[in-house]
Amino acid sequence: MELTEFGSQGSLTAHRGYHGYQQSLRARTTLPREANNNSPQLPSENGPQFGWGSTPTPEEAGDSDKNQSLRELPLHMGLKRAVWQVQKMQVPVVSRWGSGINKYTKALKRFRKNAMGILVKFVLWRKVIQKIGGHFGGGVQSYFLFLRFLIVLNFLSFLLIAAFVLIPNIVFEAQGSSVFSRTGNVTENTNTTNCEGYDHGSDTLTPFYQYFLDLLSGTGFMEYSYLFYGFYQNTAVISNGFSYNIPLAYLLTAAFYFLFCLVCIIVSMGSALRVITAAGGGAVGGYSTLVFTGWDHGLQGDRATKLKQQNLRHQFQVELEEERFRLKAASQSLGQTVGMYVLRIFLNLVVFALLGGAFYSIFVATRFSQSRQEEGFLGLLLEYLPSIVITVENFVVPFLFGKITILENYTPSVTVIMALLRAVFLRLVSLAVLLYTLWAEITCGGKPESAECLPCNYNYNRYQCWETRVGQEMYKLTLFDLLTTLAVLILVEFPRRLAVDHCSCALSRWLGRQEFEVPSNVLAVVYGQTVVWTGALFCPLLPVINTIKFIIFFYCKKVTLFQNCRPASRTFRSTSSNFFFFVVLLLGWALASVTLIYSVAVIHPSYGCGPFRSLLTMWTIVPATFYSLPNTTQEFLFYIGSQKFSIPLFLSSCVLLCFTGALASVYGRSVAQLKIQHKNEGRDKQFLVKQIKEMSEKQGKIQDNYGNRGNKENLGNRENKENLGNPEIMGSHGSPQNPENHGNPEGQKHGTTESQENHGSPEIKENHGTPENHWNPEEQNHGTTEKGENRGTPENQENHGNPEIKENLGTQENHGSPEKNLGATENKEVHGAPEEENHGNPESKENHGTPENQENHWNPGNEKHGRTENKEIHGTPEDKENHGDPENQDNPQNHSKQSRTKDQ
Amino acid sequence: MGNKQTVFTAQQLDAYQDCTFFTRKEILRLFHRYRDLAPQLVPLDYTNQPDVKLPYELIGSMPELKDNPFRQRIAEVFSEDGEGNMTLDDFLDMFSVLSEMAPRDLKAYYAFKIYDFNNDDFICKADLEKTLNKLTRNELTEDEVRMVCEKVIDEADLDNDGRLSLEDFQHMIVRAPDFLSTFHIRI
Repeated sequence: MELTEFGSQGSLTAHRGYHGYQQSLRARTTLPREANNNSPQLPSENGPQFGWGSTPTPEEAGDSDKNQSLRELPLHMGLKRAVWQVQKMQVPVVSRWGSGINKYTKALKRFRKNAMGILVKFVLWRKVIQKIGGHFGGGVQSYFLFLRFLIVLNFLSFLLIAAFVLIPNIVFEAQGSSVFSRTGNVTENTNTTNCEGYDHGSDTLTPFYQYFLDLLSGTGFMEYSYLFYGFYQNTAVISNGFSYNIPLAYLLTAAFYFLFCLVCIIVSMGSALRVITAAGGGAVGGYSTLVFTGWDHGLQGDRATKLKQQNLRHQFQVELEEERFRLKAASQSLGQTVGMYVLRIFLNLVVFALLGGAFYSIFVATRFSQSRQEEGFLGLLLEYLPSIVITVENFVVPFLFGKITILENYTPSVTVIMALLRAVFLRLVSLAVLLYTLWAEITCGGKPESAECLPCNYNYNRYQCWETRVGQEMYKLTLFDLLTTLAVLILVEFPRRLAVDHCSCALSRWLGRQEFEVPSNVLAVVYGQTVVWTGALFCPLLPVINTIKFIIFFYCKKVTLFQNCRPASRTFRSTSSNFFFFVVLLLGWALASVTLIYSVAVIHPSYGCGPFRSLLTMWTIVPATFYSLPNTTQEFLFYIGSQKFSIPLFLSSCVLLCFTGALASVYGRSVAQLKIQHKNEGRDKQFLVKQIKEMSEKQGKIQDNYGNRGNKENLGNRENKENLGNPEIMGSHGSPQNPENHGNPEGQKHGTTESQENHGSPEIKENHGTPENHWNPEEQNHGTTEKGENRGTPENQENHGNPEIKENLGTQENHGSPEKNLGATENKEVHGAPEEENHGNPESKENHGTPENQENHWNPGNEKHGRTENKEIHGTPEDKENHGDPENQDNPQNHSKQSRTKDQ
Repeated sequence: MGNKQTVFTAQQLDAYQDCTFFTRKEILRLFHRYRDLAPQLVPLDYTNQPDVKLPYELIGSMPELKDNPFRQRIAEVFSEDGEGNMTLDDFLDMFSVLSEMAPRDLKAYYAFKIYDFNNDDFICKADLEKTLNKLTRNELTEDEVRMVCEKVIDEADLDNDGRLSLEDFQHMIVRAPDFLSTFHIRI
């Protein structure tokens, strides 16, 4: 049953003209007949005719690999199923032991597959994100993926903090102070006792709305809770062999949290980078990718497709405009160029002025809000002043930047990048300014010996527990960010959509539905994450708050995306932008970690609160604990920290770095070189083809002059005849079509080119020792002048015109495929370039490897013979005469190479 | 529940599983999608491999394909008769190649076929013009189309023969970052 099925499928699909398609078909039909003993290998060999690049089809492929490759074959389902049947039938003969192992591995594989299938269902928001990708494309999808990454990151961080800080603290609190012992009672000053008071004022009776205000600003009942640094105890538990030091745990958890985030970012960044590197860093220009990968086949719905088409048109026009722009820029006069630069410098100054103004206003607002104490709503407003200023600036200033960058007359793509970079700068530096202001307030401008800070090393009068204060600031920023997002959604985005949908006035039409702008949204998220990192040390529960916040964000953005947005007219490349997101995130991380390190190592912790009260700096706890370790551990750690260990480590890592760097640069250079070579070879080939065409025309004339005598004699072309007549070859093949077929055109091809070269100059012809050799190809050439073209280009059709060949060929299709393959390999050899060339179609070479092909290729021993003769002729003195023109010189080399590879 | 299905034999299902990137469940789901297109034509029993072909008009009316400007090409390329009429096998094949799991090379091969409108194994200028017009709903001017075509060939044609072969196409597509995510139909 299976066999008949192959047959019918084959005849139906024969016209599809996939290289090697026929071979695989035939192989399959002849397979059972030939009753191969080594059958287990066969299917995997004739299957992978399909061959390029990364689909490895090793001969010793296991069962699963076969299935894998079967899936990846561009064949019809019918054929694939046929192959599958054959594979199933040819159960390889294995020992019982082997079959046991097989069964086991199979079961394992199935289990893994099932497990993966189940796990996939647990991936957060998989469906939602898929849907978003379907409606709005990859760029928007990447934003949501990024958001999901941050949510997971924050949640894991929360688990970390909960496990090592929060839960121990709660447990010890509950146990009472029986097992407590205060750590590090190294009060270094005598007059610090008046610094130890910490009045968090939660005992007084408060009006009900105060709770609400407290909730928003993190004061009152919120202040002295697990939310903030100030509440945590400076206790250590030591009871029957178990010891737990909360301050140390607090510090180490913070450090681990930062490291963990760094590792997560780097890993994700690495995968994003890998995709970019695989994509060649966008070396290929935009047009082709836009044309061939621009369409998102996942789009559904009339509206989405129309918009996508508009987008694409827009993008094409932008690209063309950019092209025109570049041309214009190249033809600009000096005066215009100078004018443009002056304008740009001026606008940059404006940008700096704007930035400076923004930072100064943050500075003033922070100071003002820190210095004033008010009650009630006014107090709340004061509390939120820095957050409000920062948020407003983040709305207004990037908008202005966008306008300014348009004036600057950059190309459209640069405009986007410039606006984005400025916005990043604004966001991160405004946060830095806020932190600086706080630092200046807390430490009296970095002068602990000033009057206000003298007794306690920090401004105790205003900040009894400064860590909590910083934590509160970050808490407020986080909360305010969330509130503004919600407010914008409800107060701006919905009304806008309603206005656009239900009102047809000019204004609403001009406004249109809003676009979902990926870059600005990502920036907002990164900013939020940076705030969380900065505040994590002072407000350990900030990660969990942020998790909730981002989850709300996720749903809000989803709602606004589906309800209010239209797909952006400017699409955002998801792959390269992913990397950019992570770079910005990393910048935020760096900013936060600088804050962390500074506050841990330099600033004096509060006396009255927190796990580090009574320590000189937070870091002091680490050496203190270190000295309580056993001696051997201490020694070991000392050794690791010593020069004996660290300098060799440093040196070796330097060497490794240099090595990797050198390797990378070498690869890069060789890739560049190969690319150039590739281009040149292409040009060479074109040139040769042209030359051959000319030659053959010229030669046709000469031939006429010579008279047709020779032709007739040589019509019984020796090679051909022998091939044809060779009974062994015929016999050895199940199907009679193939052998001549392959051998023949090849031989002819060879003949052709040579004869052409020879013919280029009549004297050379005289030099030829063997007349057949000379005449034989000549005849062929004469017979079909087009064949010269065949050699270079894979157009085979012309060959069909030649009646002789047709006779030799079994079927036309057959003729097509092997020759093509050959053509491909030839070219490759000529190029002589490794790997890169192969890239296109490496396995076309392997096509020769399929049993039939191989025989085809090999069978005409005489051919080989003929070719070596030719080679000799070429290699010998006549060559020198050929030196006159360059392409002749080229060709013999190529030829010898070809024949060498073919002889292999 | 999975054992109760009588649409396919176990062997058929196994074969489909090994020949596509789908699980058993997905294959059955796809079968039902296929059947829903024409319940009167497609039998519920595929164990004896009925020779059923749905015409292109039905295939092209699926919501997944309905608005795709390339739907006819896709159907033609994946159908066995080259005219867009699809058997269940073709149908599964199509969505397997367009699924998330299919490797880049396989996708690239079929993408090439899809963009090669005249089936001559090369993407020539005429093919490109067709592609562009489909992409932009004929809204680019002729001049722009011509310029873009020139640019594309200029960029991607490595052997300078004025048209794109499969190798050229693959070379280009390997570098195209978004290809995998865009050549993908979620079903």
